[in-house]
Amino acid sequence: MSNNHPDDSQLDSNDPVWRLLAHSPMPQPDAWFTVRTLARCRQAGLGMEKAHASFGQAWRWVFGSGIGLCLAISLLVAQIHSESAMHSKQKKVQEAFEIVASLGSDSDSSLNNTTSSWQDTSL
Amino acid sequence: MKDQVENNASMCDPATESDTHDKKLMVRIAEGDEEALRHLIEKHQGVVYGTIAKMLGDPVEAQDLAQQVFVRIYRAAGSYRATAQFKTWMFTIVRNLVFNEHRRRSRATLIPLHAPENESVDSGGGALNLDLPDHLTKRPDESVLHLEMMRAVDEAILLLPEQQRLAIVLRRYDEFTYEEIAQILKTSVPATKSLLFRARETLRVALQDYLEAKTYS
Repeated sequence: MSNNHPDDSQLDSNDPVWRLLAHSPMPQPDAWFTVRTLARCRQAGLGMEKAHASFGQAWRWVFGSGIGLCLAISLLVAQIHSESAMHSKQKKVQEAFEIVASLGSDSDSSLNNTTSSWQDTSL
Repeated sequence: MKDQVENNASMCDPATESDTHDKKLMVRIAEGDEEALRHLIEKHQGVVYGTIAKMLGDPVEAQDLAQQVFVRIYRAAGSYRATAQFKTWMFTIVRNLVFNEHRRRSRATLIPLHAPENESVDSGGGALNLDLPDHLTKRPDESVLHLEMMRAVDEAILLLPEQQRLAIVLRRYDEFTYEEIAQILKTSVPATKSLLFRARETLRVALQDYLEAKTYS
């Protein structure tokens, strides 16, 4: 702080206002200032640690819930996919049955007109 | 940062030595050394508190703000880079806090709980000297005059605009150079000189009675 230009310092010391200001000294802090400030710093440090911890906790929560959500979505998608596959399978089976049934009904109608050999006509 | 600190240590100017010591303390604070923090507070509490008290004229508020300065230093220790002088950096924090406090005060109208009994003697309201008047023992005339002059000086400083006030306090009481004041006030050196000139002229007018009476000499 002492690299002032010599002219500036001389100008300051010659100024009566400057000399008058010296009559009002700088106020000094009380004896407990250091202790109180240290305590406040410690508290601020703890606050920072807490904030850091809570941030970590929040991050863990976000991460965990994200994974959970992904898992749930993938399960849902898988289930929907398997359901639709099952549905299409069932549909195919049903169609096959319908075809078979329609084929069967056609043959039945042809059989109605003729009497079977095993039928007892006497009754 | 450690390398920068070591490089600076090679210079042997007392101001540079002090700055290097501060920067070393900051490295230790960043590593969690509480003793280093204690050293730093003990070293700078006088100038920090004194400057804030001169700026605000309120010892209680000054104590709170001075503590906040050290809390900020403590919090910033991890990310502190020794690019500028430590003291200049620290006083930039002081400047920000003091100017914020001024803004807060200008928004809120503060009404004192107790009106001063004698307006003519205690007209400042924000005078720094909080000593209770001693009615029992009679003071010598010089002492009374000196006390009155101290009050007048403090009040005249408090009436300056905040930039001029900080410039005058940093120059007169903390003995900063124009360059350092310019850095703290985020302005140029000519602008700082102009601020100081205007502040001196205002103080000259405000303290004219004392200057003419030459009671200070």
